[in-house]
Amino acid sequence: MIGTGSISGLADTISTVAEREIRRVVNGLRLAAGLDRPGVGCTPRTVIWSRGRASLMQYTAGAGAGRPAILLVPSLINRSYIWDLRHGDSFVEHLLDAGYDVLCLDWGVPDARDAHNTMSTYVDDYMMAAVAAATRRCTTVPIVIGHCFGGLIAVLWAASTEHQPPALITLAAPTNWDEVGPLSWLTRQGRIEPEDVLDETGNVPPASMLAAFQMIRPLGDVVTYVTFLDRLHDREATQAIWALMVWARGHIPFPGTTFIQMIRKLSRENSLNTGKVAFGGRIRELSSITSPFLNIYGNKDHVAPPESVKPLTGLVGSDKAEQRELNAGHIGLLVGSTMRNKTMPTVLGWLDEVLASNAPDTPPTPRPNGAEPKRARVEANGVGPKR
Amino acid sequence: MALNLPDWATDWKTAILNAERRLSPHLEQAIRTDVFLDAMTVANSLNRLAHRSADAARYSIADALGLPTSQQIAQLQCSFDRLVESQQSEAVGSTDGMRLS
Repeated sequence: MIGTGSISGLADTISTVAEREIRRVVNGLRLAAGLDRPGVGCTPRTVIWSRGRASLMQYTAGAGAGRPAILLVPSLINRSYIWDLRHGDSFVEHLLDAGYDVLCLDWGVPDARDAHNTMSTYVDDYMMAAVAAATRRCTTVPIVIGHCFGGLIAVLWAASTEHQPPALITLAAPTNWDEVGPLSWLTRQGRIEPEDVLDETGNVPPASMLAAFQMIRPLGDVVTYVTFLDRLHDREATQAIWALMVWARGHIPFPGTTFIQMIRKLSRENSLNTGKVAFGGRIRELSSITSPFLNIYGNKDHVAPPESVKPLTGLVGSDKAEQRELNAGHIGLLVGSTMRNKTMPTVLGWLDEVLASNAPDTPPTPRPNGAEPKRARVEANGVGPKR
Repeated sequence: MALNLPDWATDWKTAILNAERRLSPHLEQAIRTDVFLDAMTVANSLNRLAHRSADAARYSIADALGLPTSQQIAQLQCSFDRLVESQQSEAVGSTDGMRLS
């Protein structure tokens, strides 16, 4: 005989399951129909500089905390809104909450006009001009934080300028390309020439970039889809996963000439790992970077494995050069609970330490002219050191 | 008689994630082998060969008909765009550059 209590319990269970399944169907239909897609890059901002496809956005904290502004430098292969993915899951928002004015470089979507852009275009032209615009706007040189290839651009910029930032932070910036793995190996050893992957616009097509990243984690998408389907009843979680999925597939063309230089200089010559990179008619010596430097990387990063990132810390000339290994993947450093609970406390804690050790109200000073870097300058590839 | 099944047998998510966890290390190891990298190289070469052949056929047809190809139009458009950009940047002047050391 079945008791009243067990019938009631069964009804409750059925009701709960039905409610959950209905929510799943409704959320799924809303997303599929485009009625409930999450807004991305929603933090209010102003464009304060632009050149070609690139632009510089400023987010204002509104609290005169007396702190230097922070310039975020995204990678060249993805859209910059990953820094400001969604309300509540935004790197930018957290920095604003901590009282920093934030600026973010947006490289835009390269097209045929950008196919001839070189590494020098991004380091000596765009990055220099963007930092100059940020400095004019914020009165001091901003702290610079770069992710992946954006981190490399930031490092090469810092090695090329006399106006050192108050602090320089890189997230997952691959330095030793011997350790990058299959992505690097494919274009080494003469297997695939970098020119072979360019399309008719002269750039690397987004589909090739996506295929390359999918190759290094063949079942990575499966985990994402399973998690998405499993959490479909939860609107907030569904939107978060959807936003990340859309971003992860939203690769943009990689400027062809920069790609060729990247493969030749950084991958085949592995020049970053020597501390000297020659391009644009000059040698950039990482030892000439004197800003306090923090190298952050994830121990689950498949794109920039820890062993490829670690050497950077020892190559810069800063007196305060540190590194932090976080339990994170390549993108987890920038979004989600890993960003909130690990990356952000690490970044903010380290910046507090650096800014506290600097004398208050002392603007960062350029390196004195003629100051010798710690390491001897070396002529390489027929290109002289910077004068 | 109750049948005690493992979690993965009753929970589709656990089943898939378990399978992924077991397969992924092997696959990730496989893509690091010379065999895989060589296969990718061959696939890339064949892909390029196919694309180039198709493009050559299209261009020769367009050429025979006296029509411009999509590539020629794109190059022309690109040249115009570059010209406009260079004129605009000359007009604005390079006043925002912090000089290199």
